[in-house]
Amino acid sequence: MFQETRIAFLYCVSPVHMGTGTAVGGLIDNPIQRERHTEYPMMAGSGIKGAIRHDYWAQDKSSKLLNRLFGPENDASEHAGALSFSDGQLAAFPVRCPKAGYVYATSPLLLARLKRQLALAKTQVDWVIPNLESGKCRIINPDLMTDSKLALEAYELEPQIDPALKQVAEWLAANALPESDDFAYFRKKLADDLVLLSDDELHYFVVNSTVVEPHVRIDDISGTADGGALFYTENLPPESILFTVIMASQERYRRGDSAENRMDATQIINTLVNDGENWQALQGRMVQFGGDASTGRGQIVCSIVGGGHE
Amino acid sequence: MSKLPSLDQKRAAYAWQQVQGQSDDYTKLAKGAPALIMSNGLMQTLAFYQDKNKPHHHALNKHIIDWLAAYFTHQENVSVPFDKMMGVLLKTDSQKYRKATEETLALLRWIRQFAAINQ
Repeated sequence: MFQETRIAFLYCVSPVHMGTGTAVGGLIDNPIQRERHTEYPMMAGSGIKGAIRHDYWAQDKSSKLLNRLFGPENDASEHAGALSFSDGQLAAFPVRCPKAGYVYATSPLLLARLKRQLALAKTQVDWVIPNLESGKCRIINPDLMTDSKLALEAYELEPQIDPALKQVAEWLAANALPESDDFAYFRKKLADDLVLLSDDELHYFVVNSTVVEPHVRIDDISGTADGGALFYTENLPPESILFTVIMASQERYRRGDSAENRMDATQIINTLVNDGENWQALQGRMVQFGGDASTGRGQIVCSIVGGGHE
Repeated sequence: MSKLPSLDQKRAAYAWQQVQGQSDDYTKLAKGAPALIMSNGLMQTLAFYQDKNKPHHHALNKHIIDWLAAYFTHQENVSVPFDKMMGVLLKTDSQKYRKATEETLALLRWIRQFAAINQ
């Protein structure tokens, strides 16, 4: 039973490779994780939990709090952790737009799922999700248009300016990005350049517009590419925005141990989210997720939203 | 369920037929083709292959173009020259161009997989 819930927005500031480890007959040798039923990019909750646990461990290797929050490192059967992380879902995805560099694309389905999770985390939002006919899109910023069309990559869509979308964009800008000045540009861009696509059009971009990188091995002798070692890796593009639900229960402990000084769910979540003696707050903090860390992949900035008791 | 083969089975059958006897260069080209299309777009990729003017570039181009022609005309064994397909793609609406890109990528899943078997 989880008593406390928060939404953590995950803002990608570099390409992110949360890999599947299996790919047979795909387009890309090394694909990212995707939902089975929508093909939208996702991040397994276990990977998110592992990344955040590692981040806390790296900040304070001696802390006994790690096992109390996340569960025992080795003997997992002793007791459960007090924290739970949902699979990361997409909130907005960057798509190339000649008029603005890129736009943040979202869809009714993405926004409906976000709103649903926010409600479960006791965060009511007053924005409404605009209705959308297929083949049309909604925008906020008229400067995105060229001859009354919106060009995304090589495709033209018919845009309509919708004030209802402005509410969504401003809420996202205020909540999904850190409050610091260094993010001011991106907050403004998100508030202006959020574009609502139909679910099928968004599907096209999230499947076909990820970052695909060829990797080769260089032959030590010749200094040229070793032809047999070519493979293609897929990444979530920088500026993608996802969210995960963080849930906390009261602290668990091994049967037979003393129940004294155990933390309740509020203490657990506060310990995770706020700064402590030996670590910095998760709010606005950059955490490394997924593979290829040593080549700059996986840098994600976290923003925490929500609160309230059952 | 229909007793007819699915579209994906048709793509597979077509891909299997086309990769027979193709060179090692063709296999490598096919492996990188989805990445090229995803990064640069379908028309740019087709034009790039045409410009390269080597047998394996022309072969892959032809396999893609003929499949697209068959897919859009609902006919089998269609052969369409590069210029004609480009003419069609240049004038088509965004939705159809997107469909052509998706269909090409769906075909390439099979081509890149099957071509590797033959090496």
